[in-house]
Amino acid sequence: MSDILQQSKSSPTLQEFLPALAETLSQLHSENSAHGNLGKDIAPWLDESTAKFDPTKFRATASISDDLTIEERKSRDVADFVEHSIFWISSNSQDEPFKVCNHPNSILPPLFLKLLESCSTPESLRLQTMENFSELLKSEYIQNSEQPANAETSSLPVETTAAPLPPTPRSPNIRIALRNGTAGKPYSVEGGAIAGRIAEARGDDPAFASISHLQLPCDSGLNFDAATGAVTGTPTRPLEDVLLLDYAVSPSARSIRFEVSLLINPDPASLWKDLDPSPEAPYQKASLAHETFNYPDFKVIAASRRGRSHANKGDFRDDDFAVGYAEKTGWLVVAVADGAGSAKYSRKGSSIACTSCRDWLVGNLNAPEYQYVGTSKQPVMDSESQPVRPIRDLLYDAARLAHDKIERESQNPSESLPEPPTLRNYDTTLILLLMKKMGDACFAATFSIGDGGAGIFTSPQDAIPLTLPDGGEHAGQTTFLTIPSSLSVKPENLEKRYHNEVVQNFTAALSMTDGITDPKFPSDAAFADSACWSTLWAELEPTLESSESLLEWMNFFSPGNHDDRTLVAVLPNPSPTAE
Amino acid sequence: MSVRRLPVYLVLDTSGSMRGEPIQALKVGVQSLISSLRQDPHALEAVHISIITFDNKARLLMPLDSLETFQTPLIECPQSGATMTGAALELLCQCVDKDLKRNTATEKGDWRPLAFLMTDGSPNDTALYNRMVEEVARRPFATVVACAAGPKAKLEPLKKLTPHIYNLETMDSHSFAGLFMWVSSTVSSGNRTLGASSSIELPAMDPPPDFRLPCPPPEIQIVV
Repeated sequence: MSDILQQSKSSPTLQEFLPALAETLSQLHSENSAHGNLGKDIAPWLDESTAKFDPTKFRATASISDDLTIEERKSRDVADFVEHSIFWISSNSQDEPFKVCNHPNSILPPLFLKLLESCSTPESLRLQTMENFSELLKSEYIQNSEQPANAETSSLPVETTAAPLPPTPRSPNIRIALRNGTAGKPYSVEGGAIAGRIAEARGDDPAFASISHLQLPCDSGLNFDAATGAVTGTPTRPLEDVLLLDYAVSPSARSIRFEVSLLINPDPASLWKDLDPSPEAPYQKASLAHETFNYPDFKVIAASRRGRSHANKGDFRDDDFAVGYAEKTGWLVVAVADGAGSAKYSRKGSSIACTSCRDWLVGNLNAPEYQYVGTSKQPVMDSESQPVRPIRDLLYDAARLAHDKIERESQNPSESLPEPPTLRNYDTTLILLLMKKMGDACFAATFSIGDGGAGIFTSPQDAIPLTLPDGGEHAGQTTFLTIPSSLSVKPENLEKRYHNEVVQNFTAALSMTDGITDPKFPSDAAFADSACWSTLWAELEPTLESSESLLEWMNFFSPGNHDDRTLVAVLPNPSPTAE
Repeated sequence: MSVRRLPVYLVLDTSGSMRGEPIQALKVGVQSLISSLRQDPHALEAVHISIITFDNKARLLMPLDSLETFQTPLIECPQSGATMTGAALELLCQCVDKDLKRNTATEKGDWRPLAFLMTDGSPNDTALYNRMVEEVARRPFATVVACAAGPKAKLEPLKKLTPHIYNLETMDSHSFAGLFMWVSSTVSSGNRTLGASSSIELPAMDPPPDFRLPCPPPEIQIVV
């Protein structure tokens, strides 16, 4: 076949092919009329123009649409005609022509196409394909008729299914779809890929196949390079379109037109809406909150912002934070909480959790007994030997009291609600962080329920996680302060929730909700990995000039991570005023 | 870093009785579902869709793929044949077992999947169906919704599968468009409920909060 293709000077037109086709058909007609199955298929269109089928007077014309000129009809590509299924024949010039394809079950048009495409000259049609065509017709007909069990693999470009469906007259039963793109993201389909795939589907030789033309919308940002067949560019806008493509079996062959679908997704970032929550809703909360706290030993920069997922629906920020300092003893208290998205009043739950814990802890830690945590050599408090209530138990008590306070709110709401709430309407996580300077060293303790997390940096490169992952088997599963089991006094529960460290070189400590930890620590293993912490620190440190700049940084875009974000950074105060 | 996926399984009846207008309407419906989900930013990032069709056997027409790259496949139906709903549920369970990523130390897991079953008849493989209803219940689906389409759809078998059953009285394109718009809002809302925050507690700790379904459109009659 490739020999013929190379020899042919120019592709033959339909006009040139018609005599050969007529001859082929009439011969087939006489040869195969004895064949029952074939006869049935051919009959609907051959026999209708009577049995006086005269090969010498056989005439065929073809058109795609009526707006083509005579010249265009003459030069139009054969395959194109057959493919577009309007193919007229008659036995002589006086007869009313009728469509070949008007018989819906006719399998002939795709066969014509295959036949015509396999030959580049009328002579080759006569010489090469008479036998082939007959065989093809027979096998294909049988395959598609009532006995699909006899089916052999088809050599036709027709998608054969197990069901005895007649092939449609349109030859390219090949569905072509370019890979989807997304607006704003570089897109490319490598050269030769489209032609190669069509060739493969049709059984052509991919080495010779090419795409001569692909009409892309002019302002789409995408370009087609006819020389290489590549589509490249960065889509400028969403698109869902059917494009026309001209395919050629070989450089010299007439092209065949295909439809190709292309979908460009919208840029997800462009779809987010920023809606304000209803001003009538109970438990109003600002979408943004930020504050800088200057204490004798610590500088604290805190910020919290509503996530895109909430802004998109006009929901409130569910996160919250609270920071306090026990001035008499130098204890810093940081509370961070993330209200559950599925709980309708969780914004109040997180707010109660934070403020209640802060107030209670600051009040208790101001007691003189907490002046000294211990010596710098033996700093960690031991629950057995300490005369005061150990830090771990103090933190547990704070969480317990916060739970009780939320429970009271659910039983006796402070604002008027449309219907009586349940405790679970206030679902919230809680991360408590206590810190105290001990000479040059620094003591840090945490108690956490639910996801998010805290960690302490001993240098810009090294951090120690202060919380354990608290997630479930599936995404978004965690536990809440409002679930009784999270406050179990069983040792294994307390050990999991409490953690303390003494560090000699305190650089910073962070306490974050999962709006920050999910995008910045892609897995539980990453949370334990110093490299992830140091990457975060490199990104974060320049933004810690003010709580405004931290809040601004927290608007970063990370696909799939659009939850509320809260981060409290504790830094050593550069100008300590008291020890 | 990979985004946490929200797997959505569409399990569609393509038995012989769907031939003609119903299958066409179904195709248009699936296409419009995909298109409308693409307008939801959360869905566009998180939703992954898989299509299972069933007639005299169940087949995985489209393995789980992100909404961004998803190409709607050809949905075809044979001239006649049985309705092997049980086989379809069996395949659904196999797919979920294979597809679903759980939280591990090094990888964040998927959101709990959603499944939509659309049928216009009743299961012919009753024994398998009943067994598979139990198997589906063992899988961590956030919700399973069944749609009984047309007058021949039997509700009793579907009631064993899920409390969320919707009935389409007619199977024209209007009804299917309504159904799939609703499926779309369900997916979006599931997406929001699940995706907006760390909101589903561990099943072992407490029963999960009821999955809130949006109000169905007027064309869809609520059965339960």
